[in-house]
Amino acid sequence: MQNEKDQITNLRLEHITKRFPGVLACDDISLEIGKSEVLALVGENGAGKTTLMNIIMGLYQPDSGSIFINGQEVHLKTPNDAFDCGIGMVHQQYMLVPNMTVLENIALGMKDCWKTAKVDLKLVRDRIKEVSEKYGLAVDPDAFIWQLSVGEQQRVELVKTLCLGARFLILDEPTSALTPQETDELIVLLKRMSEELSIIFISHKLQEVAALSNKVAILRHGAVVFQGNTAEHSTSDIAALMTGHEVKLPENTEPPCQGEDALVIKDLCVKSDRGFMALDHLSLSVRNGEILGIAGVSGNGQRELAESITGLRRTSGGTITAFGDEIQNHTPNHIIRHGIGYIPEERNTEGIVPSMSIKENIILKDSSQSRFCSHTFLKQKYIAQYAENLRQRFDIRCPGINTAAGSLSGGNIQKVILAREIDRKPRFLVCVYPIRGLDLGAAEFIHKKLLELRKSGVGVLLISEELDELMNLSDRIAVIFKGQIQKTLDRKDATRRSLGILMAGVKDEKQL
Amino acid sequence: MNFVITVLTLTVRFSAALLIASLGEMFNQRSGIFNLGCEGIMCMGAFMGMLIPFSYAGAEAVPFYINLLGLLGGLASGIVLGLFFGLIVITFRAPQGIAGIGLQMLGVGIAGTLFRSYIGGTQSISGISSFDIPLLSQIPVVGKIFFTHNPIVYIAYLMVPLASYIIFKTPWGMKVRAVGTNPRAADSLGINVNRIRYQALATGGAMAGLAGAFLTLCQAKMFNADIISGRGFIAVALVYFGHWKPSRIMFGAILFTFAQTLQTQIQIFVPSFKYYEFLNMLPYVLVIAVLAISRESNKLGPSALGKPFNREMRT
Ligand SMILES: Nc1ncnc2c1ncn2[C@@H]1O[C@H](COP(=O)(O)OP(=O)(O)OP(=O)(O)O)[C@@H](O)[C@H]1O
Ligand SMILES: [Mg+2]
Repeated sequence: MQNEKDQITNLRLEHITKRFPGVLACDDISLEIGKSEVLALVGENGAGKTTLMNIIMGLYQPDSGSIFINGQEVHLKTPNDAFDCGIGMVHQQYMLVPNMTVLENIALGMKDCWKTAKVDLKLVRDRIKEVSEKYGLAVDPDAFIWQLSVGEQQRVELVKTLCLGARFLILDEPTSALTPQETDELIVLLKRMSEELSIIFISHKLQEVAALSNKVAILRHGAVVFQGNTAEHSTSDIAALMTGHEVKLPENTEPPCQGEDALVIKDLCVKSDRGFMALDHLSLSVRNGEILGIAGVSGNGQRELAESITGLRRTSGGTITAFGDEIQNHTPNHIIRHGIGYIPEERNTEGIVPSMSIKENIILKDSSQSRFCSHTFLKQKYIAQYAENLRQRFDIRCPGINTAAGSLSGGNIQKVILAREIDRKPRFLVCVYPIRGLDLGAAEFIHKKLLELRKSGVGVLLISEELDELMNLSDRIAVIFKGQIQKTLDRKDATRRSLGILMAGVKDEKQL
Repeated sequence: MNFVITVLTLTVRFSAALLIASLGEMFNQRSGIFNLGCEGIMCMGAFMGMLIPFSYAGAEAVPFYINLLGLLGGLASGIVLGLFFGLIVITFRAPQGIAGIGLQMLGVGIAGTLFRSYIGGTQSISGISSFDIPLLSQIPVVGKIFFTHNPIVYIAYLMVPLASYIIFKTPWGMKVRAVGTNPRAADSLGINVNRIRYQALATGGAMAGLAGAFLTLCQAKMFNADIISGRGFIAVALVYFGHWKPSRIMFGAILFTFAQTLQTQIQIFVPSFKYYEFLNMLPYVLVIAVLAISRESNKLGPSALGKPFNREMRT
């Protein structure tokens, strides 16, 4: 075991192989990270990045291969072994206990605050304060995790890892739920930290990779297919190496749409979970064959907007009209039958039933329709064929359509949802952060699909924080701020700057 | 007035066993395991509470430490059964509901069989008797209700703040809550999920066994195979009722026992009342009614309740 004070000057993985039932998640991987280096690990969804990192943390045991720290072989059987070596990890799936406070969540990992009769919370509080100040990461130590937004949770996860005194950081998609500003701040912070520790950084956003890392390794199907210095390769090179073809995110270049109104929202008022007005007399409209982007910092009513359209949340005033019929406060089933598709933000809890198979998840919304069901019996053969077809078309990486959907990698779960929603041929689609956590190839594919939907005359409400995504796809972009539409811009007028200003709550640029 | 005092006094006295058992079950559930076998463990504990003093001196009076040994015997048998349950549901990952029902039948079965072969038929023991606390018990009304009990009753009530402290303030309690809510997170911080769950089951088992021994030694002063008569199941229900918080569990235990005592006392005082089945039903209806109307978010409960943990399995 390493001495507490020892720096990790070198971490080497040799021939790591890991199998799960039906998948080879890591295939003979060898990697090396030196002192003060930032290694970016990129690769498609399901390439095995998270699995490899879990092996370094002692959470998974490799089937074969060895790990060396400073030239000495180590056997990491549990996370404790990894901590003792000074390795810390920010997990892709946050490792937080929702019914405990931030303070307690951090205390869980800080063994020096476990006194026999009492948890020394004061010690934890001091440590949090120290870390927050040193790195400029503000967290409220007394908030319960369930009260925090996804972005705040990501910050807590980061602070936790720092409080535990990591001298080697693993960051698994730490920016997926952060706003663009927070992401920029984090990158600056990590750059500063990389002067004193080594970092492995996983991300699907190649600008971040370029800004932060000095080495890059690309994984595909569990194997390292490329290693090199970041500075010598452009992001488009890396993207091409990663996906095997040149990636060009599609753009919407069609003229503004003239179709009939598909969805009209008038004076919508909706309460949030915490009881305040999340939507305050919000009005907007989307035409058939139009993509309306909703830009805004998360937490300004996006979630409530999507949920009230899809019938998951009661409205307290105003109307939502879809194809001429009012649908507010109808049941989700009614709204689905009315032709409204939904790609939710919380994919694991709202998008799929994790313990059910991919096949079952794909027909979940239509299991009683005559397509999949005759005389109350499911048409198993047809369903299997259909699901298999979608799996191939949407390139869902999985051992088979009978695997539990919850065992897939994050990006592949998203593809299951997209496959279901898009192939059901909705008349209107509500789409929330559709490419969060998706690899570039998949993002390109999804964007193509959304544009195809648009072309076929389907209206799309696209809620996103990625300005590039919004500007590439939308016909018009509405900026939401504190539950109201601040302003709606045509695509040609929308720039990063104009959107950024509106998102910050300034209506008129001249006010600046 | 006398009626009221009697009912309240008995409520305090009779709630003790339920209280100890349900606090124990709270530790189980907080760690993510619900132990429907509580009834069986209590029965085994009750038998130990009979066996030890009876084999020493039969129905004769025994020294206090022998009775104490009876309580400890109940506690120890509870630990053994709790750990055995852990083996089944933690190590072998059997479904908890089914395994719990099995444990209940096992406990009742073993206790009943041993009772028949070692003791034979209904026998009484001297047990631990109640005593009046000097001065305090002299206070009119209140004195009788609160200060004329068995020492174990006071210990039961002291366990409420103690359990609260342990679960919310100590490192162990914090770990128990973490493994019951998000075992994956606890695991990622190097906490041994299964070890904590075993410890919680041992604690819960110990308390259920103690509660059983209390019933024979302090309350009934005899044993038969259905001495527990559903208290173990009520204890499980009370934990839900109390939202996994000791103080609310205590409230539930008192409420239930109060209704129970009230109805038995009515049957005693008004023997002409014909529909006694209706009265028997009353306490249970009350608990269901309170459960139904107390709306509270489950955000604070152990959300991994009932799910075995397997590090390498997603979902
Ligand atoms: N615990 C598990 N049980 C079964 N299969 C698993 C498990 N963990 C990962 N896999 C499989 O291993 C492969 C690699 O998954 P992993 O999570 O490492 O991908 P990833 O590169 O992190 O993807 P993403 O970018 O979507 O997060 C996937 O095919 C996944 O389905
Ligand atoms: Mg991953």
